[in-house]
Amino acid sequence: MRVLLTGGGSGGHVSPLLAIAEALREHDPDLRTLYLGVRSGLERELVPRAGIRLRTVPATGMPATPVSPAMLRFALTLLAGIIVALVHLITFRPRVIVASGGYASSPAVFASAALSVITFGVWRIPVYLHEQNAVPGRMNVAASRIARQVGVVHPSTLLRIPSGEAEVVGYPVRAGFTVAARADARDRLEIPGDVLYLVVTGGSQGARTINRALVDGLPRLAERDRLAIIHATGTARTTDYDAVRDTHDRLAELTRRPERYQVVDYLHEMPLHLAAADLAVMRAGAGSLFEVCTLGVPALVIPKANLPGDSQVANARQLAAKGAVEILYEQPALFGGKLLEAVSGDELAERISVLLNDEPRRRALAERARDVFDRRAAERIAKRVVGLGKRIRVIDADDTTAGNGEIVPVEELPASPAELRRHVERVIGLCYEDAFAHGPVRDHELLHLDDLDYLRYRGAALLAHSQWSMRNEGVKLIALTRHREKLELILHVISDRTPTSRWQRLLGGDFLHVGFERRNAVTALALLGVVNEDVLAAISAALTDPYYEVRAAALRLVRALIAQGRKIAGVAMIAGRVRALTGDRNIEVRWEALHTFGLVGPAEEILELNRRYALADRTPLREAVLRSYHALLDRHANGRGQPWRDQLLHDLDRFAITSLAFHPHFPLKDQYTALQRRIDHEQEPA
Amino acid sequence: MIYALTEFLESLGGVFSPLRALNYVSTRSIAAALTTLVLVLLFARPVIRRLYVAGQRDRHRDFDEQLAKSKRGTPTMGGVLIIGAMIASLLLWGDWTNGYLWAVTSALIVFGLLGAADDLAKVRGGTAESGLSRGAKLLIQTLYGLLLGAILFLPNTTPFPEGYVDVIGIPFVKPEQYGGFDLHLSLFYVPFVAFVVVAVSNAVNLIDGLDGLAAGTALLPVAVYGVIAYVLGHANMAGYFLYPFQPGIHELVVFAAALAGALIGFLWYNGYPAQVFMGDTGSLALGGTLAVLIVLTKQELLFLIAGGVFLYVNLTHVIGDRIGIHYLGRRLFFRTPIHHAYEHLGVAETKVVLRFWIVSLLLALLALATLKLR
Repeated sequence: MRVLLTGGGSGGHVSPLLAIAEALREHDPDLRTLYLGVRSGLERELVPRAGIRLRTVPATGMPATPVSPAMLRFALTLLAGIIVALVHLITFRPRVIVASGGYASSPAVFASAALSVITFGVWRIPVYLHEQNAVPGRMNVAASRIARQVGVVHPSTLLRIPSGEAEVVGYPVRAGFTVAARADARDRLEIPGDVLYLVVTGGSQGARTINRALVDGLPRLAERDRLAIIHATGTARTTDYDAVRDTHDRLAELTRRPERYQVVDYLHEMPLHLAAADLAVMRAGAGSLFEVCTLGVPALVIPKANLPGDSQVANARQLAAKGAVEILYEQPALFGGKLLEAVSGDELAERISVLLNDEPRRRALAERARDVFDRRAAERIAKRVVGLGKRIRVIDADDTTAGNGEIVPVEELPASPAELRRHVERVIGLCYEDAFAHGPVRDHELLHLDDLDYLRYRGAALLAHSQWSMRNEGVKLIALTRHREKLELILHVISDRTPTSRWQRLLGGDFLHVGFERRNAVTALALLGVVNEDVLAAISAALTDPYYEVRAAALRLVRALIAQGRKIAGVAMIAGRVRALTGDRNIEVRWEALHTFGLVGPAEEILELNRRYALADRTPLREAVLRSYHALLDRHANGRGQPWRDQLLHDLDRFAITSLAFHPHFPLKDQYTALQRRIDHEQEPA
Repeated sequence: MIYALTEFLESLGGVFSPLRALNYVSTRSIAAALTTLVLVLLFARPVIRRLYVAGQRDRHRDFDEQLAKSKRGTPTMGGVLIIGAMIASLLLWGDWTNGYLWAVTSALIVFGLLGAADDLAKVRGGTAESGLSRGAKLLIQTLYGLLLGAILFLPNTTPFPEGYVDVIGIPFVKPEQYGGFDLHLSLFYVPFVAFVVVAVSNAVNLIDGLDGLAAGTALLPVAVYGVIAYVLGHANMAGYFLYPFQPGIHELVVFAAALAGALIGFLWYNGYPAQVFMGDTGSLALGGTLAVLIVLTKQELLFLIAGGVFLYVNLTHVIGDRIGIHYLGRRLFFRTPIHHAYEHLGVAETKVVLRFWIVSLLLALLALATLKLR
């Protein structure tokens, strides 16, 4: 049988395919395979070594921005890739295509669909798609529509596969993947029996978060005896970050580090080191997780934030729910006015120490990890692929509970930030727009939120996202989960004045943190319920913001804080700003300012100002005037005995009460609603 | 049917010859308008009831506090009334040997079905987002536009007079045959037709956001294009107003009149507070037919005046929504579509709608004034 394998770009996509190929060869000794990958991927190294012919196609990952030069380049590359893949399909004539996801597999999968269309369905090559990540990428979701059968690793992934036959098959592991026995490995690495061995790596490229946190945490780890650390920095060298250089520069500044600390660029015998390890600290890519799990190494994973679909976090959470790994989330923090994801050295050192001290916990992690991946996955997939090749459907009755039988269901939280935020809004019972009326989020409202830590982490992580719409959801999530530790970041969003891109400025944009972000950050202050000097400074910055909704939101925030009975220091300064805004160029700001001034201004000035708007054309302006009178009367016990009382009555006499706005009131619907409530809550109608 | 019948009877001569009056365009137009009006008025109540029972309405039980103040729960997809009455009336009064009538009726049906598919998907999905995707709608609209453009452009199928196929009329400028200037688009005519179809049908779709707004605002451009079709289809009048004579286009007058009648009948029920919304079924069908009327009378540019309200709503929406909200992350208008901005500024819905009608009337009169101003 001829089988075309495709997928790659990273190791996590390549090795499962090789495992499947190996299993297929046992079924069919005459198996002929061709691997379609990308030039830059890890497949260049791994595939020829496995004795499989490799051909490359042009392909790149899908950019996040919908309309951009990058998207155009992506579309053209995809088109070119499909054409090249089509040529390979026609010349190689495979019976089946096995795709493992990753952008490298899209050309072949789409080419198979194109081939079917061109030949009016006569030449159809069935596609088997294997998805390793808990949250499939957009291209894989598209590919799953084309695929005849889809196999996944995590049960919750099934919810995200739109169509096609999908089932849990597990993560295919190569039979030849020999696990070096722990004792052997330690002997070869010459690690004494009573020394704990810690492996720290951010993958072949390296991870800034992990490298920096480890270096910062070394002085604390040096307090321990009998600890050996191997640290692979990775070889990334970009304009932002040079992994090797940056790490060594930082190491040079350290005054103290553990005795047995070794730093290398790249660990060639990773399985050996992992087999010898007592604890591993690493990223949560599908490939790395698979490695620690098959070797049964206790691992502390630091998932990379803000990947498409938040895939690393989702992978890590799946395994953590099964008790197979521990998670340490990265959190964005300010570095020289820039938001970057990071983990503090102290926190990392603390988590490492706790785990090193707790041997039973490590043993439990290792045991659960070993159980995660089912060794029969490759065989199971091979059966299905052979079935597809023979055009028959394989159902094996004994095999319905793929995975391990025992799967801890993870309460599925939505992957998209907007949906996640709506989920939180539903649970708390609060719409973000109603924040001012609601006031600070209360403790009992947070009780209903499962996994509050994750939600807080996600909100904070989103703030470092490159797209404003994602940062905007981050702002909302931080506020809705009342994540007060991140107040500093919210204030940064409000008052940061980094200009946005030239294109956006040309069309009317202003700052990097766009208008909606700043407006929602101001709203967030109402939900966080903290008032201090920094908050007041941010409010006063917001009152002079160039975007009108920010100014309007700041005015509403001032009212909300006063209504909550907050003492506002420097209220006179704020009153001056509010007074100035009553003459704002934007009418919405004007009416919010008129209303707010009634709460903060001196009585005489309020009356004088309101008199000018008594005949205003726009209804909301006059409504604001009336609200401001209410506020004034609230402050002075209905104005009894006040010198301005008669003046107020006189002014009201000359007030235009024509209104262009009205709220409809449908008596029939009143009755209907009352009836519904009565049935729902068994309540007497009021 | 009546047209065919009287045609036949008239050919017998004798006592039947006064029936000729029933075949005049003017007579048939008024009859068609009255027919749709009466049909809509008669059938609205049972249809609305049926829509209600079939669940063609948007309701949200979780937000029941708002119910007393909002219009949620109003049945949608009322466009079926308009389309049904139109087809019945046109079967009665239309001359089905006329190609123009087929062209414009095809738009009514294709866009009606497209809108109905969208409405049904929304009801099934339970939210406004679960309708057909933007891309799918756009694709079908574009395909229809390209097909129409090709039919109008190809020499074997075009209904237009020779040498006038790829021309579009320019307001205030005489055609070449009267010593003026013709704008020839040659091959670009086909994509241009598609563009007009997509733009106008979406424009009507977008403006359908307040009670009576879409039906009332579209009524006047429909009337304007009916008048223009009358002028173009009448040799003497076309000569007098310096338009190229388009034989047969007078049939569009019957169509426009029927549509106007149906819209007035619909407004009876759709006026504030609405008993029924037209839904995408109505707004896409209305927009699609209006687009075809525009293309067939070759007065595309005149729509910039006659449909000025649509232009305003759409331009502000593109700027405010696509550029502002989605790209810049800020509002450039208080709200878009722009009729909601007036509501935000404290003008009641009824008043916004009335004012849009007034502006639409004003623009319709301006558009008619261009007939002679050349």
